[in-house]
Amino acid sequence: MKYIIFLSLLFTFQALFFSGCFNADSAVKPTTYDIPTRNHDLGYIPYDAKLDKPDFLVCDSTNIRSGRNRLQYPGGKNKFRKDITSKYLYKSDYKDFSGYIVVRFVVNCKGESGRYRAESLNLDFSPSDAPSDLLQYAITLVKSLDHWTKSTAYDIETEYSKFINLKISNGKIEHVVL
Amino acid sequence: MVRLNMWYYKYLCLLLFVFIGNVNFLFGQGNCLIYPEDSGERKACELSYRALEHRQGSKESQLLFDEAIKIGPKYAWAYYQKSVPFFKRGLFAEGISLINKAIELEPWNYLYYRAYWYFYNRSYGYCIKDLEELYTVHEESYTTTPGGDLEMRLLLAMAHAQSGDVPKGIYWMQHLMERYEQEPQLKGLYDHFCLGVLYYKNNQFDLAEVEFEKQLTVDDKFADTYYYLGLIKAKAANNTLAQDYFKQALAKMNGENGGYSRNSFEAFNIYKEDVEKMLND
Repeated sequence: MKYIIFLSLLFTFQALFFSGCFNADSAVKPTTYDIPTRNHDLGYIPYDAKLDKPDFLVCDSTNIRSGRNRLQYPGGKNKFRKDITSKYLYKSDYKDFSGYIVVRFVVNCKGESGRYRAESLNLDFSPSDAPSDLLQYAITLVKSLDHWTKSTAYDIETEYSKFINLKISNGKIEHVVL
Repeated sequence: MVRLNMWYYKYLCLLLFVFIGNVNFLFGQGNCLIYPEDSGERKACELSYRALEHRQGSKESQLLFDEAIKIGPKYAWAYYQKSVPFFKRGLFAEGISLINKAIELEPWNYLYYRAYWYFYNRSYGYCIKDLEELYTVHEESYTTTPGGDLEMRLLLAMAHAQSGDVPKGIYWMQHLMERYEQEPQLKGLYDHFCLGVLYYKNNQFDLAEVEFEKQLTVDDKFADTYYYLGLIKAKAANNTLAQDYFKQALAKMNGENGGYSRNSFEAFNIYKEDVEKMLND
């Protein structure tokens, strides 16, 4: 008990002392900035009529979760890597491309996946130019392996964003990050 | 008199600990009081803390970080914090432009974070570049992965090994082990394992075995250690012992007696099928 009182007094004294050193009243001054209006979560992918099925709905665009292990592929990550690599068909048009193809999508409250997007990056994550059909092909491949399940039963209605990163070397898949 | 001295020293120690604790608290990363009132940094700091009250990646938090960056463009922590949910969602181009800005301002504080994402995505060359700058130019003494479980030199060492320079990886692991001589309590759960793997890859099986045995004294539930010990015994043509280790590895992977495996070592990860293959050979 003696220690607790001693520590509490000492802490209070030092906190007051240091606060005083830097600014006597700034610590209690209210901030004046307004909280902006609610909008979408970063993981939300807006609907694009040219790319998306109109019947794929996101229940709550402000509450999209992310997490590497929140969506499971049957057989695990290694199985996914093997499946996508074995399905991938190399084309000579791809041989000049090395870097990443990142495919993102959303799994909605019904457990359906949609809003697939792909972008190409260099190994330092700066934007790069990949053959346009490689981007579309990457989406087609990831879509074809659409067997995602949510990790736990209680979050069955939670919506998730997911990304699959294909590391490509001279047009061939070198590794799959997910 | 002796009792009085004991009492005095005890309180003196307490006083010292509390003083250090308070100084860390007040001057620590993100403590807004250290910036002059009405400075851009003070306002950016306050806004960044308000942003953290919202869910990471929410529009509210992002807009508060935007405001923080606008008011205090030299406040590195706001760029770093804003970058985190971008990386976690695979929005790497946006994440990297933010963390690059934080690194421009305070490389010693944020190089590790960019290196972590390069490592995770197997961009080993860029990972090595960042971490060697961190440990040589900025003389960082100890920094961990964002989750706090691995010292970043483990990633640096593995990145070298994956780039084909295993001896350089061993060098960095030894560099880390020297650091632990001063403060052994900092040693992590997988340091001996990582050094053991590198010795194994470098065909230094005796040294590898020593490290794996040390690893077992740190954590005997980690399946992957048994797998590598099995490989070493198989190399030595001691098949009975090798199979025994592989069986133990599989049992740990199946969670028996608290056993487990983990996938934090990227190219060095061990999967159940690897162990099963060795058992069937």
